[in-house]
Amino acid sequence: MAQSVTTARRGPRLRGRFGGLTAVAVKELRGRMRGRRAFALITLYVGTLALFAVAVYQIARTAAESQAALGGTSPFVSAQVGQAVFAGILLLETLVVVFLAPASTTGAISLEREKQTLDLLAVTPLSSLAIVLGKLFSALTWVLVLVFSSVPLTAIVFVFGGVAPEDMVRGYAYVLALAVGLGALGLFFSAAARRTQAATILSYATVLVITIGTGVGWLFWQALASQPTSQQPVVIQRGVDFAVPGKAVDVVVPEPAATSAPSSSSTLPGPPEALVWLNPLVAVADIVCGTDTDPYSIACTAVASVTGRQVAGTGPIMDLPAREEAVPVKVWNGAGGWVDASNNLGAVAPQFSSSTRDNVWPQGALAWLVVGAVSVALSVRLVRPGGRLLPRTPRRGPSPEVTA
Amino acid sequence: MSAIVTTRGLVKRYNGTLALAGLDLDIGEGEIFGLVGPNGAGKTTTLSILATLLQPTAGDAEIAGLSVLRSPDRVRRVLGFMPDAFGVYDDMRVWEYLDFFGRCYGLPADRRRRMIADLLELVDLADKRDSYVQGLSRGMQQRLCLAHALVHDPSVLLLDEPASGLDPRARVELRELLRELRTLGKTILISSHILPELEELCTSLAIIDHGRVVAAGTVGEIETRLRAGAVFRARVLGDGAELEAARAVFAADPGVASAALRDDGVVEIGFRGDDEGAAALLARAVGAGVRIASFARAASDLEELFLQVTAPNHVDEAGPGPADGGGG
Repeated sequence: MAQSVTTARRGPRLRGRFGGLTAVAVKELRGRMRGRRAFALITLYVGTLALFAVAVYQIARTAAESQAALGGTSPFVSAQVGQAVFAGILLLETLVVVFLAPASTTGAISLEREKQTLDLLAVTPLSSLAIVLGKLFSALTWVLVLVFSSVPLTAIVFVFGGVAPEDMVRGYAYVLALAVGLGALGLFFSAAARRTQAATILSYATVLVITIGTGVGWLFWQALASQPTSQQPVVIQRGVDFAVPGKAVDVVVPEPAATSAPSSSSTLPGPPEALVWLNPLVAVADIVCGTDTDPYSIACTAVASVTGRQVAGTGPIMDLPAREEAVPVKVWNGAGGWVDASNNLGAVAPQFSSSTRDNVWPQGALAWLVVGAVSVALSVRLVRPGGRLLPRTPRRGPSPEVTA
Repeated sequence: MSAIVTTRGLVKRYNGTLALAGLDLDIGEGEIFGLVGPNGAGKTTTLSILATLLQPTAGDAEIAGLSVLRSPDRVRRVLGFMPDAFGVYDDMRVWEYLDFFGRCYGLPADRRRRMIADLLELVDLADKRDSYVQGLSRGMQQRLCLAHALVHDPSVLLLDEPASGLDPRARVELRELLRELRTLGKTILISSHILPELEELCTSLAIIDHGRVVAAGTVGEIETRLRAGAVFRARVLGDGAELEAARAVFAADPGVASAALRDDGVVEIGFRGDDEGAAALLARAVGAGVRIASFARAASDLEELFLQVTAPNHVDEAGPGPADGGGG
């Protein structure tokens, strides 16, 4: 008897909470997926992506073949093609999410306001959280249907090799987090702005700042921080010659920015890594670098300069024991001719194995999830009419003039 | 009859503008209650507060014993609301529209199915079940919106200007629908700025102006309270002399303050008295040989009284005052 009372009490409450969420999501999805439009869009998207993949494949193959013709890395040609296709598809999908995710939610609340349907929703017992999450869920479902419809296409890279399934999982995990964060951000602007137009402009301005702005800002900061010194510190790192397996070679690389701070004459510290956590391009570079054989590829170089740590991919570079004896090394300093850099040996221990993967993107994904959670929390405060961001401060004004 | 909706000292201020200045209402269970007032009187504000969409600056309101301030969630379950201006979702069929709101109230699937069929029958949209909502006429959308407010079988219905933008036929249909809902035991609160629209439909009325109740009670009570004199119109047959004689007969009655003959053969009678007096007046006129084709209380008399009641407050908006001297 007592049990039935509690279930009777709990049942409707639970159903109300989740039912509300599904109510909004079902309604939204019905609208979005109705008719041929949605399916035509998916077809168009996958078709475009396929064409793009073919183009990347052709370019990568040409490049790899010419390299192989020089007697280079023929055993890795196929892997390199696979990696290039993977990088291309991941980059394109990230861009699709960057452009589509905010667009899919910037009208979520403001359109209801403009069409005067929000009041109808607000007088139902739906919680604001259910409204916000239902909207976000349905908008993201649509974006993610697009993204995940490309999974079979992306799987083509396994034909070529060079990319591990975990890399693909990494890629999709990041894209998912990015979509959640950007979608929630668009939803927040939709709840905060009166008009959809304003919400769209604000969303894309923010996306622009996050993608291009942080990158440019980072470069600018770095330029300010690293004053030109007469002798760029370098470190020697050991690697393996691709062509001759087992033969160790010394590689001269500029000392990473973060560790060079003491010897640099600049007063400004280098830009913090956190500045580019939200930058999707850096995260994509990190994931792509994870598959790379070449630690000096574009992707890996970008990640290395951001993190201040040397990174390398999964390629044939492997960890070697540090050399015992000093080797004289001459380094071209760019202005004054060759200088002896032997004393720099061992200044920084090679860090190949310690940071091959997952240098930035996990932080990026986490940052986007935090952005998403904060945006949802703020949207919940704004979704009902008369809602405000900050709690209403009780004003002790003059009592309202109630005259008889 | 116990009050199911009460407001006590409702005050609402928008950025310094006083929209409600201490509004008190008592609406009995099962009534069709009309809230009448000119534009800007505070009707929509009142309904929005009752619908938990707005928070009053001061005062409180209760629906079925639940405070709109303290337990808005429970209030939302007992009321259905149809706003003045409402939109419809694109890309949605009629049944999906009701299904969506049914889900919002957490109704299980089988109950939703039944509810949709019943409500579409009630609002006479059963044959539009699979039509798109945006393709319906304004009157149909209005009825659908009314149906949406009924999905959870609320005991109180708040309808803000439900007849605005409807053609006469749709108005009649709406009125019939509301009467039917009343027989189902719903308490209905309707706002309008057009008094005659409510006069025939409502059991009780409150006339509000500048955020305050000017007059409240049953339609009859308000009429007698407001009425200094009623206006009757009598259409009299005959030529000029006969008409003039008829006017004189009316004018001679002690209850008649004024009797004027219009060009179209209608005598307008300013009458002080109740319905008994009006019946006696008519009997005397017929007895005096006046050929009366029609005798009726002027249809818009309450409207005119309504305008009188609310007019003094509008003096400041009525244009240049006498001090301006006028021009012309």
